[in-house]
Amino acid sequence: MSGAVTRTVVANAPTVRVAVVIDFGPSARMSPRIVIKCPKVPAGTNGATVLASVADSFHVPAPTYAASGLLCSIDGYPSTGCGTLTSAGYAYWSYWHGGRHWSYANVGPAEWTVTNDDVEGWRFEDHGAANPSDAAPALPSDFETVCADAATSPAPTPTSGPPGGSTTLLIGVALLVIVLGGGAGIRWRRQQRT
Amino acid sequence: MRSPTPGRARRALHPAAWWAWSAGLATAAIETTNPVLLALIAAVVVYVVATRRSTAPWSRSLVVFLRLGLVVIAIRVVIEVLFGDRLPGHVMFSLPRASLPSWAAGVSIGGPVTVESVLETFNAGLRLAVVLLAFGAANSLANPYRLLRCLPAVLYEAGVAVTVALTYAPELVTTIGQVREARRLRGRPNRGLAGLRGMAVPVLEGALDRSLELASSMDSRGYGRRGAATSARRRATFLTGAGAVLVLVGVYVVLNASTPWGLGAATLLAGACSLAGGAVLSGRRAQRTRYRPEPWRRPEWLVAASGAAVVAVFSIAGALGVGGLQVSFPPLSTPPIPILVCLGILIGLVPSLVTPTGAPRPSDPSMEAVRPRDVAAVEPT
Repeated sequence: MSGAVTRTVVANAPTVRVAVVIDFGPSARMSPRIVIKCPKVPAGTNGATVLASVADSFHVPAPTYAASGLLCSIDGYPSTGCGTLTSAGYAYWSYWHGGRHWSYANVGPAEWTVTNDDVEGWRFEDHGAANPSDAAPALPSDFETVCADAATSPAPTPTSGPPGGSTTLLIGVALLVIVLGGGAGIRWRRQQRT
Repeated sequence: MRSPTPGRARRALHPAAWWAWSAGLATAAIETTNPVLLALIAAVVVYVVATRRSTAPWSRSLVVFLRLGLVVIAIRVVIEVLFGDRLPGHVMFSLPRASLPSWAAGVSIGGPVTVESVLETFNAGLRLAVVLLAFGAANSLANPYRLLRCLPAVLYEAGVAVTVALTYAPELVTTIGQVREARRLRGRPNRGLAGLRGMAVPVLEGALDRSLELASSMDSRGYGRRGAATSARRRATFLTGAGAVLVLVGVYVVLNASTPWGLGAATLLAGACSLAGGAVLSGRRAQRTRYRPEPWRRPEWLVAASGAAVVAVFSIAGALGVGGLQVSFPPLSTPPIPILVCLGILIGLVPSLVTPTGAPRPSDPSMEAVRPRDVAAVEPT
């Protein structure tokens, strides 16, 4: 009985259709270069959550962010650095909103709430200027065209994220920290008393 | 009381050696975001201070800076929970979300709080806290008055500023102890928030007063005295000023990963040369004899080298691309632990093995081990 009720609620929960276009850029040598997904998400979802759900559906590593909220990597690319400034410019993921044309996002994905038929574009800039003059995703920007391609576009090969640390080693280092800290505390107290 | 082996006599180490060691550990902490490595650095710092501190009033600096570090972490986590970016992750709890007008886009108040965002912020706070801890360690271990004596002659010109800059933190710690004692004797609260409210102003004011008092007493004894400006002195002052600016820029460029490393190293070198030139020029002018010169012997070399070794381990690991130096959440998993880097951090423990044990009270000259060789060095030849 309760199961039926839950199903009804889920079915009635307002969802929105969005298109997500991820363009790794010409120099990434990722195959495929462009990934498209047209998921249905609950209304009120933010851009960052949409992107994470797309990564989850392809079984690839989740997008990573810097402490400032800047997106660092999608599908583990690039493996190091975050908006690194070189002499040629910034290497970063630019964020775009589709429609009649691509427009450079003014706010980050965590502050952007998606609405029905939104197109969320991501493109990796190798040496970008970090302003709207950077290259947009290399695809048409309107929802219908993008999602018509989505069914036939190749999916990225599932990979696992960076390997986690061994728990034994963690316990070993934690014990070392406790021994050093505890030893320091005891000596400190003893010195205080004398 | 004195141990028979000359290398381990009861003497306080050269203050610059402690500053070099703690600067090394602080630089290592800046290089990593791995909480495990940061915790290990903190443990090494605390252990060395606990085993090697003197009974001087400023040896409690470490505790003050430890508390300051905890406050830094707490403030960062609270701000993240209230105003942080709402990135996806494992939601712990949700705060009521304030909807803001479109012109305030980019500012978020409330919303779901994830485990990942709190961990990430804790990590960033921990890094700053460990740097503060290393600074506190240097203040605990190094005698500020003896550090002042080791300054190159060219800095005598800026006497008051230098004295206040070098002795403010130790004087602050000394004043905290005194004000707390005075409040305890008068039966006023000296702990917690109530104590903090009554103590903040007298402590800050007292510490600055003590530093300025020291500066003026040194001024009256000829430190920082200004005479007629000669061309040699002007040249020395210019070289020092330019060198200091170049060193500052160089350090920034070297530490900043996005700028070319070679450029930073070249700037740093040029600045160091300029500083050395200034010091030599003005040193030729300032004829001062030294009472009880600070010896720099093997323990000093080992302490400074252990700090440099820890930095070298982090730089080499960074250049080789060893995993686990930079950790971010998500993914929510055990951070990878580079075992060799952990062993490298343990080199920082060297000072607790090689330095002379139990530094004497610096205010008690009879305890200072002055060896005949040092006395001979100051006598006119």
